[in-house]
Amino acid sequence: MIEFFYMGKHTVFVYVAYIFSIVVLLLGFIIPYYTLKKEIRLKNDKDNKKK
Amino acid sequence: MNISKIANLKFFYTKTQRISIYLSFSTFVLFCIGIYWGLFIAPEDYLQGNSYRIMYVHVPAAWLSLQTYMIMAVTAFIALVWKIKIMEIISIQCAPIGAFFTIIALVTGMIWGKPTWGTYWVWDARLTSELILLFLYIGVIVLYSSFVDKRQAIKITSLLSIIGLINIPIIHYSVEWWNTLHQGPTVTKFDKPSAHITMLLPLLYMFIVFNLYFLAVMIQRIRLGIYIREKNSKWMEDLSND
Repeated sequence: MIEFFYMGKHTVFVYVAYIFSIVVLLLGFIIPYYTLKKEIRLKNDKDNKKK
Repeated sequence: MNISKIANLKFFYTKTQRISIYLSFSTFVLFCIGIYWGLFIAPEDYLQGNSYRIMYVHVPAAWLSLQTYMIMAVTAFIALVWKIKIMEIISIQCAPIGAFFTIIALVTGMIWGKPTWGTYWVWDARLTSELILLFLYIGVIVLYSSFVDKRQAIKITSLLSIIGLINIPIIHYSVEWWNTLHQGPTVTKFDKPSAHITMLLPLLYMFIVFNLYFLAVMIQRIRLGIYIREKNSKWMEDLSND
């Protein structure tokens, strides 16, 4: 199993680059998704308080 | 479908929710396939060994960082001249996406640079101009948030986006105009690309996947932009009550 993932002396560099990219891409997707959810929740709370 | 319908904020907001979910899911699946292809199926490079595999995230991210900027500048120009609301939203929402792509391109480039050049960073033309691109994106985001009057903000950020467009050909041709540590064009020499087809195919595949990701996130961000702008409008109130 380890041999399958092993990339010689550059293993760390390759995986760090991929993991970093995946984390940033995930953040780029999650941030607008949850910001929209939060904005909708805030607006609903405000409307409910008015009522 | 009529283009003016897509430009209609209500139409876009209501019709794109489901598209966004399907697109995000397919992008995720295709991205996983691309990662596996790049990491385990593509052959090892005779000179760089396995470190070249970083190319499959570095190059598409770098291309998308330029492509996103061009979209931002073109939509900023349209927003400035014709004052089309959705173009204003697209233009401003391009900035964070472009910044994310630029960060990926810069950091993965640095990680790739260490085993290849022996250093993480050099102030050569390609790296410096790409860093300036990141500052331009951050500049647009900060400038837009600093204005209370968003109509005024969009005018100023549109101007900055259009002026910053000059950096795009500089980034692209920097490896030809100056002597740089960064390698010259490999893939864009379509008549005789330097990379073998078995290495080139996963790269082109990842470029398509990154474009799908851009589209998925762009739809999310446009919906967010529309909501923030129209949350007190009659149609949005009606939509919330349904």
